[in-house]
Amino acid sequence: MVLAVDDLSVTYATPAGPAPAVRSVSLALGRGETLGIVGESGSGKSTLAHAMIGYLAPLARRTSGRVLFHGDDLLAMPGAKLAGLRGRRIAMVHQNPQATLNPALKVGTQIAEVFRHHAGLSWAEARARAVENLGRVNMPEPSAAAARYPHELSGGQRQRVVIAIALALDPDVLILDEPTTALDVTTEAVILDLLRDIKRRIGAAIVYISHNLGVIAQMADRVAVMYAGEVVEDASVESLFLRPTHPYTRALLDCLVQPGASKRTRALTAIPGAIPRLTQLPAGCIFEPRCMHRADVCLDHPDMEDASAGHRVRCVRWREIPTTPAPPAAASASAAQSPGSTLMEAKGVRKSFSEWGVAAMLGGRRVQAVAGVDMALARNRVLGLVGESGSGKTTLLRCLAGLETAEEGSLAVEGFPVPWPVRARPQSLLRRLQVVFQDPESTLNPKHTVRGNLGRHLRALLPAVRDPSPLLAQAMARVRLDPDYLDRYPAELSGGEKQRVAIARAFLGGPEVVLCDEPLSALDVSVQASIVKLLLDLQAEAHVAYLLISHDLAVVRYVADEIAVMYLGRLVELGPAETFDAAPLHPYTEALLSAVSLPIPRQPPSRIRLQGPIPSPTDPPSGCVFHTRCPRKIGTICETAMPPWREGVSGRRYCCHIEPEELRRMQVSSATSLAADAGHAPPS
Amino acid sequence: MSFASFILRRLAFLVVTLLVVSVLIFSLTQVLPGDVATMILGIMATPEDLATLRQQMGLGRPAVVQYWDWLSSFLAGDLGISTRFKRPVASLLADRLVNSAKLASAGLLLAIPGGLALGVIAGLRHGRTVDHVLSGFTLFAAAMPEFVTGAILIVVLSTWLGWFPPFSAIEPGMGLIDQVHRLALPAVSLNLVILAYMLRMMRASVIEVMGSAYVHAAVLKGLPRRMVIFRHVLPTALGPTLNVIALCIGWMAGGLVIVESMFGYPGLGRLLVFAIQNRDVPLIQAISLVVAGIFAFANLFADLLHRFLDPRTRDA
Repeated sequence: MVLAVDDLSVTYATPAGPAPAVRSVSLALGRGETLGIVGESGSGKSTLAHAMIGYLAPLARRTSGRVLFHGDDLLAMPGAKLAGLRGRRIAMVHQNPQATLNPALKVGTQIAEVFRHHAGLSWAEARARAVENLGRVNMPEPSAAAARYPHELSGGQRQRVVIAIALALDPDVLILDEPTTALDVTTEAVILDLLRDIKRRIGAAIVYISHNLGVIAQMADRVAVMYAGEVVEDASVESLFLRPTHPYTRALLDCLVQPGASKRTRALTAIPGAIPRLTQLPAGCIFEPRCMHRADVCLDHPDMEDASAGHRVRCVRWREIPTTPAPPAAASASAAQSPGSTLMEAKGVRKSFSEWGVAAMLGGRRVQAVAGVDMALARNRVLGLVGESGSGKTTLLRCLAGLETAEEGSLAVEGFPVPWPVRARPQSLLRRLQVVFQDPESTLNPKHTVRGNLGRHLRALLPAVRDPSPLLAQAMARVRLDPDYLDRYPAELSGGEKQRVAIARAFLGGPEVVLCDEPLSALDVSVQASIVKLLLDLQAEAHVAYLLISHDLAVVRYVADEIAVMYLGRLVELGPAETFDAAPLHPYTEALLSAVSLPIPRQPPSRIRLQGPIPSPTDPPSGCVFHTRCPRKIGTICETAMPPWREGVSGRRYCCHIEPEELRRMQVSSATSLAADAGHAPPS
Repeated sequence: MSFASFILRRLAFLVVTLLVVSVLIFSLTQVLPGDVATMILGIMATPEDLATLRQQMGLGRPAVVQYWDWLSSFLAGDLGISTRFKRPVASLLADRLVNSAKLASAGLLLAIPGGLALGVIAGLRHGRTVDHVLSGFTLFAAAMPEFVTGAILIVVLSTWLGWFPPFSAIEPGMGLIDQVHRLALPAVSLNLVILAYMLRMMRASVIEVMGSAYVHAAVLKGLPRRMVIFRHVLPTALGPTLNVIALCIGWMAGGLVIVESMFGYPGLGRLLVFAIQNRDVPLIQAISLVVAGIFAFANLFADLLHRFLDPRTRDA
């Protein structure tokens, strides 16, 4: 064993008392093996990852156990000896490459430091090795890249640098702590390809930590599932995903949108309740309060049991729980609603920003964030809007909401023209058009109670209301929160509860159109499912239209009736959601879809990858704006002429120079060759 | 953006700033009761004398023309004639400026490196005894105005102990040691607040950078503490503090007025007090513009250093 965690417990000192963030964790990791650790926020996975490199936060204390690296306890090692191992034999890659790299040092220097310090090379030699290492992580033009500062690189390139630092001295243990979470889906796919390749090339033991079950299924050989500080299940990746045994693991997998699933075929199952606070843990099984299979025996704390060879589970009832998956719940109520009249229609919306003050004065260029978008939203329908960050989705939403003033174009709600700026909009319009933002943390005023937050919004929308209390109680009931939440402060609520309050706020004045800007991306998987459910239930009750922005294509395909794909401020594809798995797809949509990591172990990775970052909107490419990254580019016509809109399948339209038949042929043949590589028959 | 265009743009800003300041300073002569002629000749002057002088000085012309006249001769080095001393302002200013510069730099040479070093120590020992002691000292020092610090220093070190002279005039031909001895008390009282301020800024900055993800990453790279601090913490932590240094230099003009008056030191501050008391407008104008110029250049210098230390600012 290279690395072994033996009965480790770590406790943080907090104002509310000791918080045991990691409890009795035992794991072992051999050479060449990849251990995936999966868990939601608060599961203790990051504390565990740091303990594996011998690091405990200042307020953290080890209360039991050891972390053994080749038999030596990292947590009992003298500082100098530990520092000699870190970066050389045990290396770590963190979540956010922007924050992990020193902004004031060239990236080459930051790699060279490792060689200079651990290998004793001269700076010149160390710099040469740094360039060589950038080549190992497939950095384009490594010697030029080495001379750049972090802010001069794209997010994906920065993460390559961080990985190059970790790999510099061929470590025995490589700890990857959410290495792709801060990246766009398309960049994530490229970095996962690199990590897969590295895994094959080097013999290191790898610890891969993620909240994303799809990524874990792709990367890990063995998986440990953590919940509230304990490992609840530990198995090979195949065994875990094919025979999930712990009720938490199963519930978590049920929360995921299965490939091809839609609200029309089945409702999502959410896990009731929230993860317990570490200062108030249940005495028995930690998952018992939320478990649908709980019984009296669960009030005693369970030990790890062997369910089968190499498959351990911390549940006393694992034998009794039915192994067949729960029958899919009926289709979501909102799917049964027939589409109504057009509620909102936007035409030719344009918005550009100037570069900051002085640069603009000296002839600065304009950033074209939204370059002429048409869209329509019908009652009872969900329009999903997808695209990478930088595609202009949020700016478009802010224009519709009136938070930004569009320069050109028109907007109408139920046929009435909606003016810009937002101050020119009458109250009745504001009430009809509401927004749910991405981060519930920052959209609720922390100094006011929920009542204060909602009350202020209500006064703005319906100033005639004398007694807001009944309306606020009703608003709480609408989002399935207890009325006594009204007197709590946002800090006392969980992330999901805060998002419920934000949704309650949007529904206060009886809206017709609700614009949702990534309402799920700040939430854990199990909470996401419950918020999706809530949004769909509210739609069935209130007959609203949603515009849902998300980078998560699986969720959008599940929730939306129609999907719009946006790239560099323009729509490139638009059509019914259920058709978004059939060729021909716009090459950009194809790339977005193939970037999704499915929760199916050892799926062969797709070959469609986008190289490089999204181009700057100050200087969009000529012709088709996507041609610089397009995997299906056919020739100079893509660089010179604006592509036409074409009819795809069943009402889907896309904007491309390639004819539908030709595009379909290209896409089907690449899917076939990929499946053949993996030894499977092509999907029929 | 290239370095040349950065410098050009910043210099353009500086010129605009100084022009605005010069307009404000010039308008002083327009809003004060009584005009320059009255100030020169006094209230006992006959209307005929006043009219003649006004004619000679061109006071009857439009304000814009007078401003242009004043500014162009100012730029040509003619700062006007002091109404009180009846001597060219430029010659009055030169000596005093040198004296004030001596006093200010003697203090700053102590306050800036001292404040920065102590701030780094406090920041690295965040929450420990050293930090508590230093933070307590800064609260005390920053809360005391220069005249209180100065008075305490005079009473203790000069009157009781007799180590330093209470009066700090520098005569021509004095040796360096003697000059430093004379300057010690005013320099310390002038710069104690700045030292405290530097210390607090640097401490906060170091604590923030120490908590950043990239310093954490540098520790987990296995770099020794010394290397983490000197390569990763200090260069970035210094950036925001530099701009505060520039602000302090401007703010010190106010301190100079008080400290020079207390210690009877012949510098710019005392000259300014004198000029104001005597409504010596050309002198007030010249001193104000000189102080504004020093302040603007100090800020430009700080921005240049910041740009050097933090590559991100080079693209903004």
